[in-house]
Amino acid sequence: MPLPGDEALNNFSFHIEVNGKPSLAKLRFATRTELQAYHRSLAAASNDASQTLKDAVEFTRLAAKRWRYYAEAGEAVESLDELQQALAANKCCEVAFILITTTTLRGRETPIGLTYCRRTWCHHLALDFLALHPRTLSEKEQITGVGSGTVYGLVKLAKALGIRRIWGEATVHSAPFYERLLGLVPILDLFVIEAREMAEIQKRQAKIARRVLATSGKPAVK
Amino acid sequence: MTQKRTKPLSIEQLWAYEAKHPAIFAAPRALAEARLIVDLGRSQRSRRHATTAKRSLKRGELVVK
Repeated sequence: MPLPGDEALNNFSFHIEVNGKPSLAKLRFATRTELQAYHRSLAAASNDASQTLKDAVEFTRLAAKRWRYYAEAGEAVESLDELQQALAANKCCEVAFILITTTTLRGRETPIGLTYCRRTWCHHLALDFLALHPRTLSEKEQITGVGSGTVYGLVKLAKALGIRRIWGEATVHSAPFYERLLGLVPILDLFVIEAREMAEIQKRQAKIARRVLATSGKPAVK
Repeated sequence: MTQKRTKPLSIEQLWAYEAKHPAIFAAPRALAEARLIVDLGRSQRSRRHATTAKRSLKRGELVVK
């Protein structure tokens, strides 16, 4: 299936806010090299770091190790092309991949988040890890909207691949986020994003895009 | 338990929530599996080191105090 513009370039983009100004972020498949670079960019959290920071570091490291384990077994991919090839070879395959969210900070493309997903045997998307980069937690940069924007990026990926359901295990920490994101209460240990939720997520991002267009006069991301 | 739909949050409301509650989440099963993979790697490495040390000891390369 031919993919439209951005998606064909392995770039699922969305709007976030950096230091109070609208900015563009991109979600793309991570290669092994990029994953290693991302891993190296995580400074070890000191003992007096907040639990949030420690979780950000730990979850990212664990997601990367899990991906490498599955990659060694030939069950992980590094690009959209590889994913599509895997699907063409076996439509019931279970394949893992990592997506990195980046944005431009001080003129450089900088990673700000990591997502570990699995395309399941019945063509759904399971979201296993969603972790912001610790630099988004520092006071140097006020970066907002990466979590909800990343889920929007996943919705775009799902649409591009004809995937009708994104799901995952919710915890006591993530359930409130998904309740607000999806407009559903209560969310217990499972969240499901299907057509209606995808439409709401896209509508919300479209509003930001229109606002960016109206204020800057520059073309916004759809 | 049935779910109810709530009024969708505006992007400002959602971002205000995210600013206070950063999205750092892991599915419990995925987390447990990843930790197991790390432990497996560690025990394989320590077995390899133990085997290497044993061989070196036999060859008289190691002095154990």
